[in-house]
Amino acid sequence: MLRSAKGFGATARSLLQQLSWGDWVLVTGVLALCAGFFPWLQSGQSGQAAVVYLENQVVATLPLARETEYAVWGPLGRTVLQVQGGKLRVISDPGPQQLCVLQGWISRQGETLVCLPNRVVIQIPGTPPYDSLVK
Amino acid sequence: MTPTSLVKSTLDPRLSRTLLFVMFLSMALALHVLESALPPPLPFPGVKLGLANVMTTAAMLVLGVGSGVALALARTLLGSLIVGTFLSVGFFLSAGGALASALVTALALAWCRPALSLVGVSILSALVHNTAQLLLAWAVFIQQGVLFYYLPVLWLLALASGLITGLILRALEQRGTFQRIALDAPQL
Repeated sequence: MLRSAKGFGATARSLLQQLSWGDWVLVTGVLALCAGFFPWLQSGQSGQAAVVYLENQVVATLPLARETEYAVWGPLGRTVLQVQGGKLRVISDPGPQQLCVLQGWISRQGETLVCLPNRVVIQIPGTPPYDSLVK
Repeated sequence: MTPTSLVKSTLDPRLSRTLLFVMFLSMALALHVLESALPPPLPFPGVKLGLANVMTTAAMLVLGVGSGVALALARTLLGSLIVGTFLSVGFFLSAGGALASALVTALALAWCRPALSLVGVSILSALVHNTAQLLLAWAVFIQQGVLFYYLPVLWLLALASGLITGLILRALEQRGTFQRIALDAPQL
């Protein structure tokens, strides 16, 4: 089965044909349960304000209710934040990887955006619904 | 000379059972150690493929349910001694998960086939493994409900790892490996 020189699609199909009907019921059931968890996962409390840190110093506290744009000057240049509709995002940052821009909007307690190269950290204070597990 | 014909040539059935058990155990240990040496496939704590569990199910199919459960316990104990995690938090989680999943695998093999194939049994086994670990972590180490936010992640991971180990078992089953071992040692 695996030794024949078939294409990837054919191999995947022949592998999936190994599953009995009960297997499919089980797989579907687990996927449905996981999907059912999602609303609960999204249920973190929304925050009131975001605190902006530059090199570990608080430089601003932005209420999430008021729509603004705010710029921080870090060692690399200007990081621009946008507050809109109770959410906050970074719309431009001089960092090479753009991680904090790509992360998109944050709005719930405990959420954080980090623009590390420019030493800018934005955090919505409060208790996060979950923390990373320690191995 | 294949390992199983070696077993066949020893005529004492108890000895051949023990030899087969030890062969399964050493293969499970090899997989256990190999897997703990590999970097985790995904950036979540405790993620493993669970290849060693292939041997638990294989031992159940060839030697019977009790041997499979014993294999799972012996493997986690000896494996932790080799890897150096004996009596650590991870060891208790791993041992508890292995025991729970071995028991459920035994029940599923007996009652849920042929509705579930070995793939389904493996997925069930992986689900129980991960869920039991989380429950144990919650009961013994961190009594915070937030831990259960990790549950859907663990279930999706179990789905993937159970599928992979299950397809391995299914391939072995289709090649007649389990039957051949049993036939080579007919006194089982």
